[in-house]
Parts: sequence; structure tokens; C-alpha cells
Amino acid sequence: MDCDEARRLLHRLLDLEIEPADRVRLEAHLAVCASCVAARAALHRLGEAVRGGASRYRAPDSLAARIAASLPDDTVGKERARAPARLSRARSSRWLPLAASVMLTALVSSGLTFTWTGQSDESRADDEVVAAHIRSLMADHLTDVASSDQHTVRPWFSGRIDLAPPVRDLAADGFPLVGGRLDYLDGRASAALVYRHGPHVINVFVRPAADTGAMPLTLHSRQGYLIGAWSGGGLAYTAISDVGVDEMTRLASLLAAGTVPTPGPPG
Amino acid sequence: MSEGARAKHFGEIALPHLDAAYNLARWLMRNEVDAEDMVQDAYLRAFRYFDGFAGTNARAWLLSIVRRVCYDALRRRSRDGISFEDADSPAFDDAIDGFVSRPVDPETSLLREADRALLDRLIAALPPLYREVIVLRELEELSYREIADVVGIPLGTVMSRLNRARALLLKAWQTNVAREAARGL
Ligand SMILES: [Zn+2]
Repeated sequence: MDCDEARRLLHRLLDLEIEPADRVRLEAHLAVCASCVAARAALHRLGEAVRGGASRYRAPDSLAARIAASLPDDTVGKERARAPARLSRARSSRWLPLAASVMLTALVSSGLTFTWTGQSDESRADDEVVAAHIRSLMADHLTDVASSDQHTVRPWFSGRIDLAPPVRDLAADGFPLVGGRLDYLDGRASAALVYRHGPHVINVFVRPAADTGAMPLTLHSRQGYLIGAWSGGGLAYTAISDVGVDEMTRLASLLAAGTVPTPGPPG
Repeated sequence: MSEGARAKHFGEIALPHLDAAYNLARWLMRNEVDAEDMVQDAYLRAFRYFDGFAGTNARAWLLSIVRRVCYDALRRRSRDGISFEDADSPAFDDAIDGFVSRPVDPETSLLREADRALLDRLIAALPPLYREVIVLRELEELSYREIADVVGIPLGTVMSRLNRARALLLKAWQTNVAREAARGL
């Protein structure tokens, strides 16, 4: 172990976040290197000084009261009133029965390669996807990087998240890329790719898959939104929008085609 | 669930983390008035999306929202043109070069001060992306994994940022302690 590596690992040692094997190697280095021992002592003193000397500010009592007073139902009413028009349109009751019939028709008529799962059992996870989608439709939160250029959006994610989402502009297929964003799903950071289809916004959340096998597209509705989920290439995809089944299926197959070897033409 | 029951449930989960939320906001905004506004805004947003919260770590979830609200406000007010996103790039080094050697506050450093005041000023002078990892790690005692979730960066970046933040802080601390010693304080 050289001193550079030792200096990096010192932080992990003092933070109790070091792997046992690294700890053994680091301690072997510290046994023979006086300058790294001095560095450890300095870091240790700094940590003690910060924890013992810097302020941990306490919320004033009035703040809890202020928040509690603003929570009850009038808050929700106000927020709804301020929500963008497309939110209320997507949630309108007009859409729901229509959606159900459209989906059934699509399933029966076109021999699609997805599974209709109806109302998902994983409702909490779905609610979180819906919440993230709605959140993104609020002013200023659709994208962190706004660009239709995949060569701008793709590198933006590197260094921000531990995965490389396949970013492709699909404007030629009717799904222009709007940009990308870091979001927060299921207690974990997630890459969000944002596409547009006509007036509709489609969020595609990309996270590491539980296993490496490919899972075909499944579709279901939640709170009036259509959610498509599939996985492949070690990544799990969750797409959500107020588009119809056909559009969602098309987008999913376009994205999936970019991540796995494209099968040859049928027949 | 009725709105009242929903608010009660939210309160049970979110209010225990109010001090953590306020502390982060207070450090990022560097004043009480803004910190209170940011926390209130963050809690209202959290309540709005609360039905979608399915994670187990309410504190990290809330802190990530507080952080986002604070950075939105800081970005709107930013006059120096330094993008927060560039903290891990070499160009950012130049922007913060002045930090270490700059006397924190020549007027008050003439007074004998407790370590508390000195450390508060040194941490407050750090760029926000370094300041926040010090606050989250040392004061809120979050794990690397939790910091990664709150800040929205990979684990490796948490470590490199924490290392840089401490190196900057250590240098500034030693410089200021030495300066005060040289003045016979
Ligand atoms: Zn060494």
C-alpha cells in the first residue's frame, strides 16, 4: 500500500466504514509509516473538534408548530390548485374508463408481447413512481439536464449515479428526448430519462436490476397513469405516462432494442 | 385515509427528523430565517408526495428534499456563476483556491474565541457541496450510503468529497490556529 491509498483509507477507518481486508492492509502500512500516522492523528483531532465544537442547530419550537398548522387538508387543496393543467387533465375521471377499454382492445387486437397485470400488487412502489412522475411535471423539476442530444445527456449521468443508462434520442420514432434527471425512488437514487410524445411526457426510470435476466414488458395502470416495466442488460426500467398502451409498448420496444441484441426479423 | 389521519401519520414519521432537517438547511443557507422557510417548504412538499414514500429511511428521504429546496434557492441567488455541479471537476479547484488562505474574519479573529465559533466560521466558508458532506457525516452522523442517497451521488463520490472537504477544513483550521498563535492569542 502506498501513502496515497493509505490517506484515502484513513477516512474510512475513522468513519468505521472500512472493509476488514483494507483495515488489515492499512494497519500494516501505519506500522511502518510515521507520516501516515501523523495524518491519522490530524484527521482524528479535526473530527473531534468538529463533532465537539461545531454547532448542530436545533429547530426552533415555533417551526414544528408552523409546519403542523399548515399541514391539514387546506394545504392539499391549495397545492392542487397550483398544479399544472396537464396534471389535472391526466387525472380527470374522463380518462379512466377510456383507458381501461383502450387497453383491453389493444391487448386483444394486436398480439402484443406484454402482460397486462391490471392493478399492481406492488402498489406502494407504484405510488412512488406516480409521485415522482407528478413531481417532475411541476415547474422546474422535469429535467436536471435539458437536452435532446444523447451525447450531452449520457455523460451527465456518469459520476452522479452508479449506472450508465442507455440514452438515445428517439425523435425519428416520435419520441423526442427532453433530457435527464436524478430522482429518488424506493429509497435509492434513480436515473430518469424524459421523453415527449405529442403533448405527453414520459418518464423512464432506470435502476440496477435485481438479476441479470431479461424480463419482458408488463403494463398496468395506477392512479390513471400507465406504467410499463421491463428489464434487460442488468437494468430495470419503469416507464410512466398518460400515453396509451400502443405508444408505451412502442417506446419500451425501442428502448429495449437499444440495450439487447436485436433479434432477427420474424419468419 | 382521511386528510387528518394522513397528516397525523406524516407528522409521526417526519417530525422526529425536524432537527436534522433544520440543521442541514441552516448550514446550507447560513441564516435562520431562510433555514426555517426552506424546512417548511420541504415538509410541505414531502407531505404532498408522502403517499409515494415507500422507503424505510425517512430521514434520508426528508434530507434529500430539504437539500433540493435549499439548492434551488441558492441557485436562484447565485451571483458568482460557479455551478454546484462542477465540484468534482478540476476547474472547481481554482474557484475554491482562495478559501484556505483567506482569513475568515479579521475583525473578530482578534478576539479570543472558543473553538466552536472558529469551526463554525470555517465550515460555513466551505463551498456548499463540501460543507454538506461535513454536516451530514460529522453532525448528523449519516453513513456513506445515506449521504449518497441524500446528495444523489455514487458512494465513491461521497468518499472523495469527504476527503477533499476534510483536507480543506484541516488546512484552514491549522492556518487559523497558527495565525492566532502568532498574534499571541
Ligand atoms: Zn504512508
